Amino acid sequence: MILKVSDINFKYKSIKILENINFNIEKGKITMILGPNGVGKTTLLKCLNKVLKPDDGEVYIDKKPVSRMNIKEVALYMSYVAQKNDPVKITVFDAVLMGRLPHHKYRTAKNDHKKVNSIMEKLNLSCMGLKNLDELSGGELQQVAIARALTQETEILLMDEPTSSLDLSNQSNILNIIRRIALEHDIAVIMTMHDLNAALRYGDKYICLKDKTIFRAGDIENISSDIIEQVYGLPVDIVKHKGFPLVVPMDTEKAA
Amino acid sequence: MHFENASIPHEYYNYINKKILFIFSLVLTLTLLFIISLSFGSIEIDLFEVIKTLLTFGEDKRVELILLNIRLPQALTAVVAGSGIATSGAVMQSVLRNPLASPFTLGISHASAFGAALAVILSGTVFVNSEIFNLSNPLLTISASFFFSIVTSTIIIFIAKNKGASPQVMVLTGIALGSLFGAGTMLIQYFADDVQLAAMIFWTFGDTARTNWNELQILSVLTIVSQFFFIVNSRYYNAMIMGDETAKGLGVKVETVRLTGMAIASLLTSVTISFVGIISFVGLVAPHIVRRLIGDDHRFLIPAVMLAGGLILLCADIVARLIFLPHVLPVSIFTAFLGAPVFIYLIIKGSRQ
Repeated sequence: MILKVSDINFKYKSIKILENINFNIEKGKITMILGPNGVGKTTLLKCLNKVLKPDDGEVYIDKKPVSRMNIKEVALYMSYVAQKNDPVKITVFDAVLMGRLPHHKYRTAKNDHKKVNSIMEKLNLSCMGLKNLDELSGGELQQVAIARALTQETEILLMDEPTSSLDLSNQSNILNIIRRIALEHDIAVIMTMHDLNAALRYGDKYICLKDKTIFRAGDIENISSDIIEQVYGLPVDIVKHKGFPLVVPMDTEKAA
Repeated sequence: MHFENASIPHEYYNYINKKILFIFSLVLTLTLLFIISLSFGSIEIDLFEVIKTLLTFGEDKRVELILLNIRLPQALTAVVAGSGIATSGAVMQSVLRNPLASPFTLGISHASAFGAALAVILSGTVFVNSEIFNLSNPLLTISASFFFSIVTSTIIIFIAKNKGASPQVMVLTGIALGSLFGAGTMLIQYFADDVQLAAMIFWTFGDTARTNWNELQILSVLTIVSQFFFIVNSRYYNAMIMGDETAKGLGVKVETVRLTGMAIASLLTSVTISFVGIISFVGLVAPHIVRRLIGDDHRFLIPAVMLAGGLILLCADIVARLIFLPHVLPVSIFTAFLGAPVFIYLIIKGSRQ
């Protein structure tokens, strides 16, 4: 176990968003945070790395409380990929190199460039190293953000809807890379995900949020259509196609 | 772009060298224009004579007097003030993540002017010395000017945090704060006596001719120290323009960097304004021109904006000195003529996006 979340509560302007959140995260596993819009998935993710400060509760990394770490120290353990990435006039190379920011004082070293190179090649970004971010598509921007997070070389990778603006091919490519890196480097990946098919295919564990708290959690192969129906309020069926699980919404109105 | 033995590829060095070349070309242009500007004025001095006087303190005492007591401090003030205000604008744009932010558009200049006007009326007397109104208590003026600019910055940071720093919110906040402090200044002016009123109005016209060597020294030291601080923080500004969450994920203390950035930028603005008056739009125009030419990377953006700001204000100053010879106009008139169209262009561009 690398990360322990203990009794987290979070309020935004007196409105309760999260209540009594408890879970553990293991190394080398991908955990999918699932739930309908507005349930607090992104808020939960931000409470983990101090982007937001929980009102109660504690997050522990290797038994060390995150609340007692400064934000730079947290960045050495956890990297974060935001859902929205701004297209600014900075090159892809410099944007990815920024992932080394928590590791160095002022100047980057040769070793940092080597790491950037290796990640950029893995994510097929080498050909656009000198392009500015404002020249990229939404999907390419997302790839750069993921590359930056991987360059940070942390034990925990937090991702907020990392594939929301990627096409099918890039989605599959990125999720396979993340899966491979998680396994190879024993990284714990926690991502929020709306695409249930991708979640079931690439995840190891799931945490389903409903009514401000955890409704169910466990191994992803044990997620049932009942759980999904109760969380999303829509009847679904989980079928296997060529060995892969597929969530099929049983949308009665459309079927009729 | 491929790496060999983990060394940065040549393409990247070429790309960086272009930015460095741009900065050097700005240094060169500014130096040349600075020397040329010393020869312009109601009495034209030969360029050779200018250089000779600067290097050897020439034999012509009249030329030496004009250069060392009038033109040199004025040109240096234009460069230092323009540089400081432009850098403040660039930093405000980055820490608030708003392209329309600048000391003038956020109402900080007006707040600063209000503070200075308040200091003038509180300190009682104003020395009148051959058409130049000297403030009786510069320290009080700077303090009051700084206090009100910091109050304004705090309000802006508070609104940006709670309501978002969108261009619309920021511009409307700037209009509201600008009007508020403008009205406050008018109220003070209404109760001021003739000399104080003249001093206040004269003071609000941004003018580079009023500083003496002592004030210029204070302004230069503060500008250099502030700009050094901004350069040291440039990697944090780079992370912050990617978004607050991304910056925090990279270990940047976003709130602290934003607060210190705004505080130092406000201090620099308020001190500059209390010495030279309101200089409108340089803080908006210079960063935008430079961003368009060399991008958002603050490692290069801040040094380039420092130079471009100085260059723009020096150009405006030359025009102000020459256009209605022998009369010298306040430089802020020309910066407003230059800045307002750019501001409108940015709003139109923003609304199209």
